[in-house]
Amino acid sequence: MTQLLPLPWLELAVAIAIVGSVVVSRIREPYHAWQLYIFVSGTVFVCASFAWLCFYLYGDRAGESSSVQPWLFGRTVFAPDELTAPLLPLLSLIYFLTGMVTSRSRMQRNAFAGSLAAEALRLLTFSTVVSPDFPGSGWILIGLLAANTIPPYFDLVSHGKSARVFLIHMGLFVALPVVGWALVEYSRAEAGDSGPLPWWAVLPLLVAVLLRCGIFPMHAWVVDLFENAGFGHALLFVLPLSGVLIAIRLIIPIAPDWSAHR
Amino acid sequence: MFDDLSWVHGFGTLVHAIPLALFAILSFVALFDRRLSEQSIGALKMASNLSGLLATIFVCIHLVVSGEEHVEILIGDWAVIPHYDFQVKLTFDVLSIAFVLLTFVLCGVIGWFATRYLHRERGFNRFFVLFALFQAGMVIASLGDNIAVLFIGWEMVGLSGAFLVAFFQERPAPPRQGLHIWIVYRVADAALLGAAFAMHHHSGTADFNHLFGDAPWPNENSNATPTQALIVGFLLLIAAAGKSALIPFSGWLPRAMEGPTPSSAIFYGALSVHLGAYLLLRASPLLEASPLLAGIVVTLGLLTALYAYLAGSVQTDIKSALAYASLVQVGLIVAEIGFGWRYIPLAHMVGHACLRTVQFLRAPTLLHDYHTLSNAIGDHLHPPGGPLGRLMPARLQLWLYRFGMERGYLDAFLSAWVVMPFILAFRYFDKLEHCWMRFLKSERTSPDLNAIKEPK
Repeated sequence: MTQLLPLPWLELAVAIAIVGSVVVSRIREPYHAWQLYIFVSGTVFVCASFAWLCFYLYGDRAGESSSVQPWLFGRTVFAPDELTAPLLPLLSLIYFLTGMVTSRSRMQRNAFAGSLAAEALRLLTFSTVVSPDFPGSGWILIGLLAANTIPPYFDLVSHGKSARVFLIHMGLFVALPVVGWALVEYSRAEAGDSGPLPWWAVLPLLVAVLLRCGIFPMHAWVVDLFENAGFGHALLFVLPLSGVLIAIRLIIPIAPDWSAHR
Repeated sequence: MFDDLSWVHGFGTLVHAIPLALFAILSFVALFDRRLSEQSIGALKMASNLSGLLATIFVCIHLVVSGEEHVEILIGDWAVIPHYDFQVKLTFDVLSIAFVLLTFVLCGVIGWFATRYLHRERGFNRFFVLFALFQAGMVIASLGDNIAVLFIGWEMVGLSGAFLVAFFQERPAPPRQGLHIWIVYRVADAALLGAAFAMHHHSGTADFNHLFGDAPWPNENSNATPTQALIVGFLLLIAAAGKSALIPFSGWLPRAMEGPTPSSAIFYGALSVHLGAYLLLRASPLLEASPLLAGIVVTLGLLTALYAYLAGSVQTDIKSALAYASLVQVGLIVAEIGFGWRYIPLAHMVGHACLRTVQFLRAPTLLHDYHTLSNAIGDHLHPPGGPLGRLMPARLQLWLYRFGMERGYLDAFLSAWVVMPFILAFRYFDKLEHCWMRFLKSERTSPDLNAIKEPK
């Protein structure tokens, strides 16, 4: 068991989801595509569960020796931590169960391939290491969050529906973190590492969080998505609460002191 | 053997793991379109009940032999971040052990009954999947050492309950009633969540002992101020009222009788309906800290008992009559808790659950039982009636009869004064939202906002 567990389970989960997405997209029969989707997403769930278990048993350096990330990126970019380790199996479980309960009359092979690609992206997003020691990490997270908006867009288009409301909101959602993070980095360079950040630097990030969480009055995209996209896709896009991830990863570490609860 | 804590921890873990394992086995088999035979399902159910019961008895014996008043079992940390950790922790004390033993015994009896009662029923496997989910939820809610773990079990019980009411999904009424119950449960769940937030705010953690005191139940002394106790306790009372069908949420109880008889027995006669009372017993230190809260609990309990007595007296079907009879007892149990008693409501709860289970399970053969009794005594059974009825003026009798028949007008009151304003407001905002969406989509037509009528 101790020999088995310290594998790079997270990377395995993501790789399986990506390969599965490609293979599923080449299957013409929707039912066979669904069967393969269930197998792949079930395997991803098992890998994600092992990633959590591994982190729980061996800490954040588990599986580092066999990881391909140092070879690919020169350092560890994606890894579970205390917050996201238990979320990863839950995330993959949502994808697995959503596929499991899809009725036969609503099966589309492209939808399954898109879901697996979205699952890989979502796993990467949630496991992105954002650290002051790693200067580009915030941008990686923002890039992945932007990439997460692509599968629902294609789903809307494939249903022959107007994606205008979704595009307006998601365009803002992508632009705001870019502006916000650029302002944060600019302010940091001006004020130095120890100095407090001005409130206006955090504001665009905060608005992005509200927008992605569907908080009034920026909630219209949620209604539009559920009305016009496939129910499964809409569910999978909304349920994992990526907005909260931005708040935890990008805003809380740089939030001004006055915002902390005493 | 009993000195070895690892054994106790092992058995304690088994107590909640066994029902969860049963649920996982039955649900995964169903998800993959495989069918277990009725005998296999029945055997699995009985094996899990027996092993869970034995594991609980082992922990109970350990407590008696070692003289400890409670055992805490840490299953693991769900999440640990700076300033906060969420521990999955179970506690075995007099209260939780009594409730878990009751759960295993009654679920075993009713499970055994259901294997025969639902023989060749299309949803046989589905029933046992939901039954296992319910049992796991009951065990987790009973053993939870913090409000977060209790909430997980609480949700599992609510979800399985609503689905079991909607068990006969081919007919329109059961799913509708299941949805109604689910909505009431949502209100109760929101209150429980609010209580969890309030507990976090006051004590910085979800653990019960930070707010209720470190001593094991029932000797806890709350550290909360009267105001804190009132806020948290009142939210817990709303949650308990929703789950135990206290006033003003009592309207869902007769609706729950749409489910099969075994589910009615286990939910609304034996266990689920007592879960609210269990929550109040667990939170009893708060009642001691706030006399006002204790007074509210007593009043609510007595009013519920009176209401249920009046409504139950005029019911014409046995399951509804039994449901209201249950509610009378639950109201009395809640009042007892409010009076500050601890062991009396616990004994009342256990005794009532056992009696009501037997009555519910005999309900399908009521006429047969009546005939047997009539034959035995050689006369017809006479309807019950007391001197109070003869002394009462005819108009008051008629009014009380109408009150009972209309179930205290509770449903009508909630529909007109609580639900309807929400529906109208939501519909108005829905129209506004669609206007906004049309604007974003550059569509020119706009809906007539004056066209919002009161829904029928």
